Amino acid sequence: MNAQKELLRVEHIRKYFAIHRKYGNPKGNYLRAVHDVSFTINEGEVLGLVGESGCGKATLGRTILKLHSVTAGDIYFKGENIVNYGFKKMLPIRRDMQMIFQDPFASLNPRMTIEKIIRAPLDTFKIGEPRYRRDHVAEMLKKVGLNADHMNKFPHEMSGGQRQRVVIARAMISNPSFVVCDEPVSALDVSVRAQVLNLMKDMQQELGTAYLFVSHDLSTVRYICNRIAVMYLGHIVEIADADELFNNPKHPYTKALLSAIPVPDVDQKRQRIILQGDVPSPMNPPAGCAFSTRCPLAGSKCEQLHPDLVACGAPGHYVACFWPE
Amino acid sequence: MSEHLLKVENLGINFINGKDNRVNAVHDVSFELSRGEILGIVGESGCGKSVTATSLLRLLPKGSSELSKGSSIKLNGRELTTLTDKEFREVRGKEISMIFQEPMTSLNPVHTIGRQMMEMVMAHNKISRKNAFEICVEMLEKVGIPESRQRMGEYPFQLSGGMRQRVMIAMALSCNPSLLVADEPTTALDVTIQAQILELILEIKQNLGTAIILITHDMGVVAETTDKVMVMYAGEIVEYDGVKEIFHHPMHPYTIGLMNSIPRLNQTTERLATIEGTVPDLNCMPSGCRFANRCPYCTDRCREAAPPLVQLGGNRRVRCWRVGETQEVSAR
Repeated sequence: MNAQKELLRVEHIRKYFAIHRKYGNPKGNYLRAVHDVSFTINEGEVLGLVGESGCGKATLGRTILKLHSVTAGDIYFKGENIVNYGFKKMLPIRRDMQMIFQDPFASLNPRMTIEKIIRAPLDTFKIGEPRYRRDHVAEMLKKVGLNADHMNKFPHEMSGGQRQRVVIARAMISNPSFVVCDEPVSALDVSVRAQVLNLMKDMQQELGTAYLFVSHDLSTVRYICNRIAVMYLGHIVEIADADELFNNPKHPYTKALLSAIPVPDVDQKRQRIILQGDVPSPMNPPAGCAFSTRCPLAGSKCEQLHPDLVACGAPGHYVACFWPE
Repeated sequence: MSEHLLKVENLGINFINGKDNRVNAVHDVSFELSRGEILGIVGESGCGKSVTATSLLRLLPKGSSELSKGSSIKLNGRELTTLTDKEFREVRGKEISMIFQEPMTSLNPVHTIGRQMMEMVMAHNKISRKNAFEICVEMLEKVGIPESRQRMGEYPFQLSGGMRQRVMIAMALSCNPSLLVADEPTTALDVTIQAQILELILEIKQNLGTAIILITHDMGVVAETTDKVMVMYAGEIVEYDGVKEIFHHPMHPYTIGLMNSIPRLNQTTERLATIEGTVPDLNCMPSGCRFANRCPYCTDRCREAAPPLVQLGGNRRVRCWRVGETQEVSAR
């Protein structure tokens, strides 16, 4: 692995969605999906992005690939600031950054054969000579655990796990250096999930690809990621190496999140932190710390000021909290 | 034993698919449940866990599904399968009630919470609107909804997912049923909200003594909330025992595979164990063991004849020909 070489740097990125004035929103407010997020990903690294639904994790993933327009901030990919690149200028870069979507039932065109689907990136980016592309597809299918017979099939003839393998093959065939994986295994059954996770890990190690692995499932993230960022209501509240985050969580939200996960172990009776209430609306977030409305430690400072990410404890461990423990 | 609250025997469910095409979705399911117990049913999608549970409330579509011969469901010693539909309406909601997976779609969006809850209470009890209202307010309070009096006049869209699931639970409990069937009650919710709802379910069990059937595919939820576990695969029970016994000592190869394929939180795993292949199609079930094509311990005998559910020592029941041998393998 090509350690410590920076691949992607995101600086103060924001993504606001405008809400139509008509729908109970006379002031013309914005929905703040991603609010001032910065982080880096090194080459060959897997960064996990976890959080509950609506925290902006998927939006962040898509915004980095510029599938959403960026409201503010900078994205440096291999040293280039790609924020203001238009469609044409993005095209050669897209070969290097791909995406694996959540729902394999929705992300494959039902009218295209598997060969056509996986071949599409080769045709778009003009990789290899056309007559060899079919062999290239067959080779890729083998790598993801399918075989050449599947080439002439349609997506509906395959099971969920097989379809997700096709999605992975499509993302990996242009040999990208960065892939955003948006909940790639949430739609799959447990036994199939393990197969796909192993495949993703193998591919990552073989090709040295960097992943941004978006998921709500912390145990999956722990299995596949080197580093983990926890998001809450559009902010990153904590970021650290995987082992460090699990063994030594500092943000009260991370702690609650870790303790809330049911553990498949009948002997372990853990002290569980149960958070009261629900996540506030991103249309009307709290003035201070986003977590202050549910935080057991919140004081008046938390309600007024917004904490920044600061280094805390082990190297590479950053927390956005006034009272990190 | 007559002390069991619910006793299901040889339950089989067929779906009618055209004239002479019957698809067997659930086969030979038997279990029993006592008061204040939580039974977890686990399995992958399509294994028949939801169909089994829905059939207890007779909610399966009538023309296109049927119970197979010899199926018996006894609640408090009373046979439910022979009741007429009219008689069954007295049971459904009052003695057995159900919580569904999607709190977003299981509440009627055009009626207030109060109206939906009161309808149920008034259908089963001869009481005035005013009393019904009070009962519902009390139920909402019990499930932890603040300002419940005001909530009664609100519509489902005004509540969050967790709150809606609480309303569903309150509604299901409003007639004080002896059995509650919860079909993946937390799957659509976030982990922190899931923790709140599971806590509530445990409280209900303790305070009201309701027996609960909890359907889930999350082994973590099973380990933390249930007393007994039934593992289903392709429409059959493959293993059944107390939760501790199953987790300490899984015997069926499918259960073993399932346990090994979950990523753990408290340890780093180099590589997950997998169960190769996929679940067989309901239309063409193998004649032998239904797990045979994915089983690492499969022999010729497994492919030829379907194994029976064998009762072992304790409460353990396992459906596997090689049960003694796999036991040694799993002990590692």
